[in-house]
Amino acid sequence: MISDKLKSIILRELNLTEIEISDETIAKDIPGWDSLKNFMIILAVEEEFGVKFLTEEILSIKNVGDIQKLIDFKIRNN
Amino acid sequence: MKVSFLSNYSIEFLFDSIKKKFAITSKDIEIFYPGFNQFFQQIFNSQSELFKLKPEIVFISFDINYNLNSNLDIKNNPPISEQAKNQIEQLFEAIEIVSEKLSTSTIFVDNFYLDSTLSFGTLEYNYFGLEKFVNKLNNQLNDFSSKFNNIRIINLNSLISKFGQKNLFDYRFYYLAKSKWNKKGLEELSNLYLSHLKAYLGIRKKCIAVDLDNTLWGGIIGQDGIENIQLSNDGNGKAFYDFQLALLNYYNQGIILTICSKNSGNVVDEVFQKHPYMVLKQEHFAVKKINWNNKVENLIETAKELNIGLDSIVFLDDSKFERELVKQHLPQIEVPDLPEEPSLYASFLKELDFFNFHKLTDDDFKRNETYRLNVERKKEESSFSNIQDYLRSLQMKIEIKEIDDFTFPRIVQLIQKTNQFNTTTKRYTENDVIKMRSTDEWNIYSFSVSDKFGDNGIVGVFILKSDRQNSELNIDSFIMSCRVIGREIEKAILFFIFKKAEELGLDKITAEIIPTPKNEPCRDVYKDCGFEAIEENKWQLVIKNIKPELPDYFQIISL
Repeated sequence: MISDKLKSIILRELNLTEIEISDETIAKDIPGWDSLKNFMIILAVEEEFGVKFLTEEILSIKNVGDIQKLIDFKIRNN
Repeated sequence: MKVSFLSNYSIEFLFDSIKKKFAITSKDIEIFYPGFNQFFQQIFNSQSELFKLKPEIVFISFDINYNLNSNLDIKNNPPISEQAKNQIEQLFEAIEIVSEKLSTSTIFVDNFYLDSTLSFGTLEYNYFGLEKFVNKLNNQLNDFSSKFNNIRIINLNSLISKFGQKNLFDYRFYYLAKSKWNKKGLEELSNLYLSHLKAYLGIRKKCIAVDLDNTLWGGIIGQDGIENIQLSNDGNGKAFYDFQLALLNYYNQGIILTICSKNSGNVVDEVFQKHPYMVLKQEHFAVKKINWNNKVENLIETAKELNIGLDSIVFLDDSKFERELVKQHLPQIEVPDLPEEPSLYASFLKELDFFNFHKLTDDDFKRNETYRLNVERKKEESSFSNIQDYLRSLQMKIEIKEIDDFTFPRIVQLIQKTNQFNTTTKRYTENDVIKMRSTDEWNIYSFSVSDKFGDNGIVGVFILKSDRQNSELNIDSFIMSCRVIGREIEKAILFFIFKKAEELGLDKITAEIIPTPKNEPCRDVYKDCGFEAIEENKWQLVIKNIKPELPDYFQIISL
């Protein structure tokens, strides 16, 4: 499940007010989510959740659910 | 305003924050960025989008470390391959082409830094000279900025030493996205670009109003006495000494200094006269509000006496109470939160992003003296019963001169920043002015005013456009510095323009007022000088209908 915090970061970075986001949502589905925004979202997630992803982990992200899983994984192992 | 970014890395990461920050210039910013792999293609192809678009501003951000990285060759000294050398030569050629082909644009170029991951550690400087090589490139780039007048250098190297690569870069993105900058890096880089844009557009404050106790010196003079305040050239008193030096530095750049302090005048006088470490003297301050009145009132009066807007003032005070009071009542005034720690005062002041210049003119160096003399003039004015007698007593001389290389920078500066007496507020850039100079129909004049108190320097500009077909001389712009408003100088200038039209054999003079929120002081200039309104804000004067007279208190010298 996507946390509200993650959802609000995504909306803010994309300058959107509301949009349907599920675990399976991929960047392509959402207007304005290009590779540039992708990095901005990753940076914002890292900053606000206090985590840091490896290059490999960033590359493995396929959908929004993957971001959440990574966050949870990092927080558990902190 | 079209702004183009040319870069060999993914600089588009910067654009979100650039767009947000550039909004304060109240210009519509339209960004053109052809992609990092298009850098040379765009420049070496004269038909490229870049040259078709002709952006007003170009930022060139070329990170040579991308080229050096895979081209290090330790058999050479500097340890780089021929290929890297050629690429960098090509880069300089490219900068030159952009400067020449976009001769009416302004080109900002980042200077170079050496990524510490490429440095040869203890070998550097002792055996290899990679750092030295980069320094040389920076010197070469500096020469460019004096050779080409539309190139400005951005000191990226200094930004990186200030914050450090570890704080600004994230190497994951270097590999994933061809950009090293992290969030903090993007933030600081866009701040740096904004400072330069502000310098280019002439967006800056004019005046710093400072408090005294715990600001210019440590302690409270009225309680502690002159022997006990903290101010010296060593120890903790040096923090205040250095703060004064930083203020003096701004003074020398033409920023007006004033005092706004709750204190008794005679106690403060003693500090100015007797304290051995007072860097700033009384004469550095154009206005001194040293009394027990409310600071809000004092600041309003300061603005009035200097004839500048409240929004031109930066107020520095250690007291949060005073700062909040001013913020609340005078939101136009910029009130930065001075750090609590005096050792940070000087660097805080230097880093304030309100006073960005690319060039200084003679007039900037003299500005403070001029404002101080003006305050003296005002004092004298009150001793005359009518204004004509007062103006006569000034013995004003007006020198009118067609633009030349010496007056050019000051003329551009006046065009860029004069708000109040500016009939049309057309913000011609340096390059616009160069273009006008090269035609016959445009004539650009500057005028300076001197009187018995001293020389005011160049205080105004007017731009005339002659139209033979309609037999008219159009006053495209008429600009006068606020510091000489109220001396009827406009009458002398219009007299000169009238004579010019006569000399050229033209039938009429036309002029326009384009109202802005700030240009009220010039709205009636044409009406007061005998022009007739042909429609709203459009004015005309038919030469044969009128014989204007030059008021007897002026002497005009036309050069």
